[in-house]
Amino acid sequence: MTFFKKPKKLLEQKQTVIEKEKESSSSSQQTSVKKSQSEQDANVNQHQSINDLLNDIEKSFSSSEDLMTHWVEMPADKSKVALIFLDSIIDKQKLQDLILNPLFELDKDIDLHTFEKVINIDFKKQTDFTKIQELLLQSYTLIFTKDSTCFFSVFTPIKTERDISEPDNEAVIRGSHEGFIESMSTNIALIRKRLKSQKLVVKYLKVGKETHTNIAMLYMSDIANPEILHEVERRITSIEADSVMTPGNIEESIEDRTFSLFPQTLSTERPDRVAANLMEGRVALLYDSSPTVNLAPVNFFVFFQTPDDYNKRWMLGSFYRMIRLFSFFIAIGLPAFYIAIVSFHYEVIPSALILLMKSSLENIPYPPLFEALVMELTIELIREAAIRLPTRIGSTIAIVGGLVIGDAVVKAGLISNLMIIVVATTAIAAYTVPSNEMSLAVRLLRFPFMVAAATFGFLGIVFGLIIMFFHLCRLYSFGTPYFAPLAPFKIGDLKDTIIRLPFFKMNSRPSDIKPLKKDEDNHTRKWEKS
Amino acid sequence: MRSVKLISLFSSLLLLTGCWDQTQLNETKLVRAAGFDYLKNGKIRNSASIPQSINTDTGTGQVNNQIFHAVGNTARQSRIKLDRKVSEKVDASKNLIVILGEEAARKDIYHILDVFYRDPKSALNARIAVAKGKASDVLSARFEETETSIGVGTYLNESIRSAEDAAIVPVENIQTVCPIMFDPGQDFALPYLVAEKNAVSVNGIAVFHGNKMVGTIHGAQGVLFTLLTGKQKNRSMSLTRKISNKHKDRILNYVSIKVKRNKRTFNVNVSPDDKISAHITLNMSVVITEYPGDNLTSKKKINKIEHALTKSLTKEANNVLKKLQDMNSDAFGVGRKLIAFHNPTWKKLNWNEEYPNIDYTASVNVKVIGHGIIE
Repeated sequence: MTFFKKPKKLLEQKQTVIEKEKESSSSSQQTSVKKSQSEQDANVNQHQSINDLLNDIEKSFSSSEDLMTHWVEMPADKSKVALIFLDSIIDKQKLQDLILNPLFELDKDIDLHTFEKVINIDFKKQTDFTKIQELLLQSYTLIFTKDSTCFFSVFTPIKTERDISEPDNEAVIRGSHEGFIESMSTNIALIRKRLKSQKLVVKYLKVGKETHTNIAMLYMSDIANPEILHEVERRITSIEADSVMTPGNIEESIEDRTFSLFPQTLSTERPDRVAANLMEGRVALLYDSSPTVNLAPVNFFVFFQTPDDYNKRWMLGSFYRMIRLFSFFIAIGLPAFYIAIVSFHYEVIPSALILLMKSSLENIPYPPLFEALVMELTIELIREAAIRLPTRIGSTIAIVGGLVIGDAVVKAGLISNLMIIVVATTAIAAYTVPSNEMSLAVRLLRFPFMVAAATFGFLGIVFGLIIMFFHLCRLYSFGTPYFAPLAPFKIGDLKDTIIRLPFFKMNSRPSDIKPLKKDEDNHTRKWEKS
Repeated sequence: MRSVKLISLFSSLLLLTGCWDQTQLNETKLVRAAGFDYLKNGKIRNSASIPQSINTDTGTGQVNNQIFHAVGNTARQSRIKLDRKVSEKVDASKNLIVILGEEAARKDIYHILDVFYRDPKSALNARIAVAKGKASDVLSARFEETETSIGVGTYLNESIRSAEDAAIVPVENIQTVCPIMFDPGQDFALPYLVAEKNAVSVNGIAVFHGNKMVGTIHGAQGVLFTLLTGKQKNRSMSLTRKISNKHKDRILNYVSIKVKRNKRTFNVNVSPDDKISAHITLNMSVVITEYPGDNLTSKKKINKIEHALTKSLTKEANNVLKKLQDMNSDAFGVGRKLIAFHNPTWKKLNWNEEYPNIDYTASVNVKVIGHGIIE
């Protein structure tokens, strides 16, 4: 029955929209039904019989073959009622359970009107005949009786959602294995399951003139800063577009700087991650039919946290977080560093290594930049192909790619084996960044660094890093500094960024998102003092 | 619009000309050992070992030792001429060792080393050594030791390093030698290499005065020389000394020790009548590594050995000092102490003439702190 939990407010919104839409359309089939409220009685009277009404409905659906009409004989008075529904979007089992079975178990003297009152919340009496089409499209089954002033509706949606499963790109070793799915109400339910608090507020917004994409904005009313809430809401409501199809559209519409490689909202498919971030004072944006949830505002270091960190012993959590931050620099800088060394500063190579390195790249016919570009692009090619290909062919690609890259290019003398090591390490390092967006940003960022290194050596890398850090320091996410807590520097906030301190040390929320309640009230080891 | 302007501005920078300092590793020839000799006509002959590694499938490259020679009026000129003989650009930034022929060392070594101090890319941490005879003989010496996997530069460098570890020679490189060269109150010493039939041996120490080599110290005296410098405090230096003549079996007359701790106290005194005296005291803690006579558990025996060693080493140390005074090489820096603590005296005297005549003595105290794992 969880599927009926669809928030009423949302439903009403949806219905009014569809109604509006209907009013604006001028389809000839709908004219018979599309009448104002005052004309309704006349309208009903037009239908001489139930058969006429059913014919009209069928016409309005252009005789679509999944529109089914089913006649049932009432056990009470042997009168015939018509069940009408769109076969493709209703659940027949539900139809059986909610309508037919109870109907035949009815006492002889109870009719449908009393049935509505006694039994089923989804069983409703309707009088507005203009809503017939709309209800049918929303997976309702309609019941028409001889009485032409009203009809009954039952909500019998077919379950088209997939099961809740662990998101592939955010798997954890320990911890919850639940992930969001394509249903917004289920997703909200998953969050509410974790935050059983009346302070958790859900706010529905709608964007897209044609697509009417629903967005749910979730926040903790006592923690999230109202300024940020207001800013997020203002940016979303100001979106004017015919269609807003993907979360990416919304991300791009509301983020501070689109001409930046760095993601400014955190996308995740994990309810525990969303819940934890809500508790820090962030805002979550959930979308209709998308398992991705965006969190804003974020800072740079949020992209390097995973729920796994909090299920490890804190020292291990800190260690792996540092590894991830280190891998960020490996991923953007290692090929550049290598290029700078072999084409400018080979003095820095240790004496014992230099002949080895020299012999490795002695016969490479082209400059290291070109060599690196070719290899990096090949890796990106394989990656891209591996995403598109079905898994069965994917393994073939891995073998071909591995063989070609690992062995043949070196044997053929096209690429030095040192370059293979560098490129492979870089590729692995890029994948250790937990967020897919950040990982992509890193992967693109290494190319300018490579060019800079090939032009000016270490100097070029230093200039590249300076420009990158300038940009990071100047970047804002919904009015909060992106590179916090390093710029502006807050030593207290480092406890959950570069390292992860034990839980009992995390007494205050990060201050860069200006939470209303700074103190987390963590007293987890009170027993020690007593 | 602003960004368009900026982009066009920056891209126009690419059209500007200028020199580019890119030097690619695979387009250079690395000098791993360099040798300098004077020819009879006064020209400089520069020898360079440029190992070429040969790539194999297994990855462990074999090294093909190539030695190039070139003659020029100065060290730099000979280097430039050398460059013309080698297919790619010659680069000395990964140089491991500079070898000076004895003749060149006995002239002025700064004339040759000047080129290293001016080039920002030169390897200042390269070791420097003097070769008996010609430097090119040492460089071209055939050495049996895994010739195919290391170049002659690495071979010489490693030989000297192990000699340094054993305290046979003092630790010096191009950089550390430079300030001492210009110091009037101190001199330095370098490893002395001798080319043998199938190897190059670190034969002893070439002692310098100012910029010129003045003599050599060999064998066990070399160890005492390094001990007397007081620099190597924690190295393990091994010595085998004869401590008696009593036994018929020759082997029983000897003891081998390893110096564990060595503390030097160095006093320079000037008497009121300007007589200079210098005294070096070495307090050594040693471990006996070999003593076939055994019975080391007896305190008496140990005392006897300590006494014998103290006597023998003090005598040897004084011999070293005598030798240095004869060669007029102030390797331990008596002059430096004078400059620092007795400056008026220093100003009055001509150190080059005074040094051989000062009262210069040494005493060694040996303390045995261990005798191996046998009780």
